Amino acid sequence: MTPELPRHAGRLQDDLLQDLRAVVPAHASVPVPVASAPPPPPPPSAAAMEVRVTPGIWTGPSAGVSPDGAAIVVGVGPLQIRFGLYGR
Amino acid sequence: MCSSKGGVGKTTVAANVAAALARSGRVLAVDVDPQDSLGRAFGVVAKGRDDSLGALLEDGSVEARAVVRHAVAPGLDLLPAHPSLEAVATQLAATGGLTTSVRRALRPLLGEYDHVVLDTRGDLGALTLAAVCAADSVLTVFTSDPGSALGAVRLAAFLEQHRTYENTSAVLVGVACAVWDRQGRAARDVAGALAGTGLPLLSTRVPLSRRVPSSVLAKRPVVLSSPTSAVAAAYVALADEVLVATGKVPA
Repeated sequence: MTPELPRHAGRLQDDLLQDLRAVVPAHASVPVPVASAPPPPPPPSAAAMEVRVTPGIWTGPSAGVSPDGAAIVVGVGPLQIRFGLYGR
Repeated sequence: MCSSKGGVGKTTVAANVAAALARSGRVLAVDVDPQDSLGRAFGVVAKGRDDSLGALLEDGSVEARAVVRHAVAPGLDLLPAHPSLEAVATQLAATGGLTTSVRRALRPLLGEYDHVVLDTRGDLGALTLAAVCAADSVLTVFTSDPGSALGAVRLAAFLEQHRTYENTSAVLVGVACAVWDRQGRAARDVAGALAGTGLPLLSTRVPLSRRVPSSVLAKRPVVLSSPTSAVAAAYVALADEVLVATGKVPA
């Protein structure tokens, strides 16, 4: 039996949107008083550092920004050190 | 506070938004959920029907002020529920009086408060409709659970249906993220999908925080127990955003 492959993440959002649109009233008179602009990040209250050990993954010295832009990630050997600001 | 789905953080949002609103005005928090969680969020537990909302719904001659718990938090009074509310609702439904019961019960109290926050249980049943019929505005919430997004759009459809029937004139003023997991893809997908529905998605997102369950255990909403925390700031921002959305304060 072939296991079902996970769908692409973008497809998941599209699928959910289709599901939601099937339920949303066609002529909903809900007001839209607030623009759905990208929200500001929650105010940070504390700096945080996270260290991850990835025994199977060794990398040379590297530095970069995490995919969500919330942290700076420094990697060397099996270590990943993540400096970021997180809401608490 | 309404949702067709339970476990999405309605009561926590209701308690914290009520506490946040009480910073600038008199607030009455009303628990319309027989699970009585809103009262418990403030450490208030009704002993039975006679000292809870059920008494007011069942008997219009009961003095509402005698059932209200005063000053459970600064600027905030509370009308608790009790599990017996379920039986009261069933009885009222049989006689046709349930839909307008909450509105009638609260009417004598409205002049004393700037804001009344009603918490409902996670369904779109007759008791929830009774709460909606007492409200001007409805706020709902979602999490990273896709089911919570479905709950939000089902609520929008529910409101539309009951406006058509003239059971209510309440409008959906906002759909807020009650537990924003900024590290999680699911949260972004759910928020992105909801943004595509045209529902009024609020910009404030309450961050996932360990402080919230701790505050429930401590029977003190996080806005009061950890007022300088990021999650408390988010609840305050959400309350402010709701006030703007309802037109109670200018943008």
